[in-house]
Amino acid sequence: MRDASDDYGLKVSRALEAVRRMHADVSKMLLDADGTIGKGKPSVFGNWATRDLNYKPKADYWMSWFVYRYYAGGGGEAPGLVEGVSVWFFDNQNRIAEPYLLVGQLSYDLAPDQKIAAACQEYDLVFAYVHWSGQPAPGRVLTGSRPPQKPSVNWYKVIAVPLYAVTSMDDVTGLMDRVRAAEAPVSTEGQP
Amino acid sequence: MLLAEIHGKTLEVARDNEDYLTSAVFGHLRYVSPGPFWDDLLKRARGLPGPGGQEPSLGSMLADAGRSPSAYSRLEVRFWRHHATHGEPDLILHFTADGRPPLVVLIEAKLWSEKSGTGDRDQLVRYLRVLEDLALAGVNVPADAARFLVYLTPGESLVEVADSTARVDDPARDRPRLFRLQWQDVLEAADAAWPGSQEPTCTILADVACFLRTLGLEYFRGLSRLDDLPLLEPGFGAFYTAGLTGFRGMTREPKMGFFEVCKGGWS
Repeated sequence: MRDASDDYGLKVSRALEAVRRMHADVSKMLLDADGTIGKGKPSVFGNWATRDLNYKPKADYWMSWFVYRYYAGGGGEAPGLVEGVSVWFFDNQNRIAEPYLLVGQLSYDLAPDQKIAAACQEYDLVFAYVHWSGQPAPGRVLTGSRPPQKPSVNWYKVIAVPLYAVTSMDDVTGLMDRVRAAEAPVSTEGQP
Repeated sequence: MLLAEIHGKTLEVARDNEDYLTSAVFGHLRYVSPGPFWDDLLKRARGLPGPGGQEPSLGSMLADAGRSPSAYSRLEVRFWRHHATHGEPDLILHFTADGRPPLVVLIEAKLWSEKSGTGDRDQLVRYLRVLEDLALAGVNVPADAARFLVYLTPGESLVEVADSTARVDDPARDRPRLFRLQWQDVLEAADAAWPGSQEPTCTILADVACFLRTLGLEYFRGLSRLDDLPLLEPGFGAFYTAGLTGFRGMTREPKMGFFEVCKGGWS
């Protein structure tokens, strides 16, 4: 046992308080995203906002590494279109130096009768930014088509900004406006 | 629950319970007389998008018809009135005044669950039927009473409400009666009204706003910050790359000295 007068535990508690505040703020952001970016659109993953939590005694951590909301573009002419918002809190490979907000659109090839939730995965925005794009760059709309890691993605558009650069919901919807305005890349796969 | 939560006496099991939330909030709001708070709250209730995407506001619609809550003198709030056929809506707001047809606003409140029932048993469809048969729920109103259903949730519920409107008995009658509202709107209406209100309304509304804020049921207004957080050195937080080793005491990050510690300073 150590000396109980040591302040280290109190300092850890202060750090955890900052994390809890961040979670509470991000939760508000995601709920408001449901009413703005996702308004009138079904949520691809229902009322879920995170995954990969560890409930076992063996753990490197018990914290969520990311949260998300994905909205189906709604049948019609674009049955495979999904819009999403994700917050990437930390990365065990140090690919981000701080929490990031990611906003984007993804277009999936759907087989007949295939549900969008079977094609879209919760971490697709993170993967689009960090893997598929090949060169993650904050503040720019990154686009691509048919990423080799996930060829069922027809095209994607994603932008990432440091989470603490966001000051309002207008910032978030403004990022989505930039994504929507960016030209969707056209896949040339299979063309002569 | 309301004051306990505000003062940090949190009961975790109650925090995520929609009945406790409804009881705590509207158990206080029932003492707020018809007036600016209710006018503002119902203005925030939105109907289905019409042509051009415009969403009618319940409060504005009532104002145009001269039936704003502030045009009434009395408010009774009835909780969980059981209707033998169509179920048990959470709240019935009953606004009355002499010489004026009453205004009835039925509220179904949710926290983290969605509406119950499917098809003909869709919860909102059933409660629209309650509006046509209020006597069986213990509320006697004349035929010319204005009747509305408000679906109160913590997030956007357009998809659920739109789904219900496809199943209503009488679209021309029922669709204009169905509105949606968020708990965050209750906070904003209370926040807007309390500074200009007389006591005890002022305290009631301020407490309700504080309570909902404590529960995190407020719209996103940016990320809050702790002022004294430090810049972390590279490699800090390497705890999550720890290998499979036995427990050898708690790992100590070598540069934690930046956090200010104020003993006995918890608020």
